[in-house]
Order: sequence, then C-alpha cells, then structure tokens
Amino acid sequence: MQGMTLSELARALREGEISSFELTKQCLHRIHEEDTQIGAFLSVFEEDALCAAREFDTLPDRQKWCSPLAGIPTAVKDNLMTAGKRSTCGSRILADFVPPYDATVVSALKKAGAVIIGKTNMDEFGMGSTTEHSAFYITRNPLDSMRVPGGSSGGSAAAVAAGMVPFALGSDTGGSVRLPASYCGLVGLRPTYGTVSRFGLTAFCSSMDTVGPITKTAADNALVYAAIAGRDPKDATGCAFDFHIPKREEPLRVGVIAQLMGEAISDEVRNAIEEAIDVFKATGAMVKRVSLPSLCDALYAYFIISSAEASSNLARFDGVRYGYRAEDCGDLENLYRQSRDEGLGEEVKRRIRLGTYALTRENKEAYYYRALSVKDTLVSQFALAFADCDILLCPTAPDIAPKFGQMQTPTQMYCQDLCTVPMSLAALPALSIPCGKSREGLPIGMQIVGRPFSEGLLYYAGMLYEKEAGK
Amino acid sequence: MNENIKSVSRLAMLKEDSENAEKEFTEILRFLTPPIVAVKEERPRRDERASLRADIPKEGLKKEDLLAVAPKVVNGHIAVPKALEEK
Repeated sequence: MQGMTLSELARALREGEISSFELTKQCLHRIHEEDTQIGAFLSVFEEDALCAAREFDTLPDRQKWCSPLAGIPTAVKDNLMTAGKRSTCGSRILADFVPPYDATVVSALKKAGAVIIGKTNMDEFGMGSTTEHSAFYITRNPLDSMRVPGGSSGGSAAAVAAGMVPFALGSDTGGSVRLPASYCGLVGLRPTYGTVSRFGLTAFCSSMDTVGPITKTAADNALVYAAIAGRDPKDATGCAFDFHIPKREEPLRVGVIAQLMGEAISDEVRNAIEEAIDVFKATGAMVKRVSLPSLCDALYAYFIISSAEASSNLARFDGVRYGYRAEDCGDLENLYRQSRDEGLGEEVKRRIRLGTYALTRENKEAYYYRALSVKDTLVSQFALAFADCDILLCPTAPDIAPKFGQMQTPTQMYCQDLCTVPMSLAALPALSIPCGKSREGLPIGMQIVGRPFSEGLLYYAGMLYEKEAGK
Repeated sequence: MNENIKSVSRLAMLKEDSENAEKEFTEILRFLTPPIVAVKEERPRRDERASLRADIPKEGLKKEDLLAVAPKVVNGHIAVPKALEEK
C-alpha cells in the first residue's frame, strides 16, 4: 500500500480491499522500519491511531464515507496544536509543551475521518529551509539520505516520500511546504493567505503563515485542501470562498517569470522548467514571459519582515508562562535571558536579533519600512502580470536538494527561498509539483502561481500537466 | 557596529553574542542592506503607486470610485479590477 496515492487508498478502503486498521498498522510498521534512519517523526501516537482506526472500521457505512480522507492515516507538522499531545515546534523551549486544544486544521482532519498517527519534525519554529535546525534531530531526504529534505516542513515531506503516510500537513511562511515538496518529489500547496485557518498554528510570521498539504499528486492535494479550507471564526484573518476545480474550455494563458529563469537558477532546473513550458504549450496554452522587477528584492524584504514579526511573536517564550525555564538565574531579567538563550536555537536567535534590529527606532525606516514598500510594489507587479495571465510558472528552488553541510552560512540557506518568498509576500497561492529529474535522479519542482483564491485553477493546471507529462 | 549588536541582544532579551555570532550578524546585515537601499531610491512615488493599483482620481476617492476598483470574486477567484486590465 505504501506506493499508493491518497485517491487510490480511499478507493481501496471504500471497496473493502483494506480496512483503516490494517492500513494504519502498515503505516506504523513502515515508520518503525524506516524512521530511525530518516527522522521524519517527532512523536508517533501508535495506540491512539490504532484505536481511532478500529473505531472507524466499526462505523456504519452511512457515517463512514463523509470525506475522501475517511480512514486514511496522516501526520501533521509539530507546530500545529494537538490536544493532549506534545507540540514542540522543533524547539527545546517547547520540548514538554502539551496544548489543551486542537488546531482548527487538526479538528478538520479528524472531522473528515483521517487518522492522525504522529507529529513531524521541522526546523525550529519554521525558521529554516533544510530541517537541519530542529532542536531534536535532523531529517534525511528519503530519496538520498545524504541530502536534506528541504524545510521547514521537512518531516512531513519525508514521511510522505518514504511511504509512511499518504499525505501530511505542513506550514508555509516563505516556502516551507513548497521547498520540501520539491526536494522530495511531491506536490505541496501554499494556499491563499486566510483560506486555511491559522488557529492553533504557532505563529512565526503572522502576516505570511499558512497551512498547506503535502501529497503525491495534485488531485490528492485538492482532496486535502477541500477538507481543511474554510472560514474559521477563531481566525480573524480567515475568509470564506467557493473552492472548486473549474472545467475550462479555453486554453490557459501562462506567464513565465523572467526574473526566476536567470543565472541564479541551475541549468538543470531551468531546462526542466523549459520542458514543462513545452508540455503546457502542447495543451494549447498561450505562453509569454512576464517581468516582475521587484522580485529581485523579495528575498531581502521577506527576511526583514518575517524576522521582525518573529521577534515580536516569539517574545512570549520567556520561561515564565510555559515552556523551558532556566534554573538559578538570580533575578527576573536573567531568568528571561537565560531561558531564551538555553531554550532557543541559533537560527531562531539570529532571526530574533535581526527582527529586533530592523524594528529599532534608528533602523525601522531603513529596513522595515523599505521592506514593506518592496512588498507593496511586488503586489502591484503581480496584479499587472495577472491582467493577461491565468497562471505564472517558475522553479520552486534554484537547484536540487543540497547535501547536508552544503549550506555553510545562514545567507546561503536563505538563498534557497529565492523562488518561493515572492508569493508569500504577495499572499498568493502557489502549487509546487514535480517537473523532472536531475542527472542524479533527484526531483525538480515547478511552481504554478495564481491570483488570490485561484486554488481550483492551480489544481486544474497541475492535473493537466501531470496528465500531459505522463505522470 | 558591535555595540549596536550588543544593544539588540539586550532588547531581544537574549544573552550578548559570541564573537562568531556578531560576525554572522554583520554578514547578514550586509546581505540584506544594499538591495533594500536601492529599492528605496527607485521606489515609485505615492501617486505613481496608486496609479499602479487602479485609476484613483487625484482629487480623492468617492464611494463609486472605490466600488469601481474593488476586486470582485468571479468563479472562485478575485477578478482583476478593470482599471488594471486596461493597463
């Protein structure tokens, strides 16, 4: 069952070829077998998952098939709250934190009948692109154990790629779903900001955080998205919209982002995208190059804005209210400093310092406001590009998955987000799908970017591409 | 610069940096500074930015102007305002 897609498993369950209990047992067996090498999971709920699956199997048919996810095992990233289960965010400061409630997306999965079998590893608080920055252990790419799975939702992507679960949830702030999906040969969606509730997602950068699914195919991804999307009164930034995959008679108008097809992108990746463009052309799509001049500054704007928000959001981790508390600190101020210093990892502290620096009275104008103006301009430029394009295409990452230790400085790691952060800044939906392989046989990902609320069209384009490319 | 970084650590309720962390921080700042500065110089003026978004009259906005440029949801996605489509 491990190679099967979510849709195939849903059909097998419905037709009685396998029970949810048996499927969950197989997933758990796979985790026991493989996860000591891969490190995709931070916690596995073996007993609870088997119990939930057994309960599902005893339901009468009319209650069972409430959704295509019914009876399917899944995993969620560890920054999503799970009632009564450890939710660490990959951080030492929350190593023993057990939330009393479920995130809205976790409740939505449970309501859809999915069986949550564990929490996946991640870069601490979502800050990283390699899953090397978890406080607990690294996650390896199941396709090549010497390489990173991408981040920060590296655990979720590795779990799906290794066949431990048919789908998983991640969170995407600057590319944390799309990048691991690309490096592990999977499909990952960053939804339109606000369409999936952030309630119960630990905040990193509140203005850009989103929750998105990681699956094997675009159709599977649409099934998960349909289950988790929707207005949530607990999320003030949430919005309702009618999600459906359109039936299009007319050919797609495709724009290729010129700035993301330049020298910063490796030849292999560029060639794979050019081939994908030919696939779209073969479907009758009209393809043109579009220019977004401010895109070159998106990386810088993203790191300033996200770090500024992180410095504020993470101020709550002070060793007083919850989480790790340092001992023998003397006074209160030392307690704050020592708890944060011992509880937070180097990358998180680096970004807190950067964010604090960018928000100080002396630097606010030079850094934070300028970054906001880049964001502003980028939104306008995307709007102009979408005036005569239905979707935009670009690579998901500048190159294939790097080897462990290849990113020697923080700035080298930041550059991996080059192609994903512009959509985060502009609050646009983007779907990363596999579009080829490198000489070493490693996957290359392509992003399909749409207007706000155009997830249906992105899935249509993704499925069209998969069909035409013979995947 | 070093004094600046130390004061940032104090503000962020973190311990003061090691020499290595200070070096890294300086490198990150160098990485982030130049393009942002360049953007400010090239940043469109307020009136230009407004005209990028939509045709907003210089004398101000009336209710019907706002309605004319407000995005509309068509077939599940936001339609580009007419003013932008014409550009």
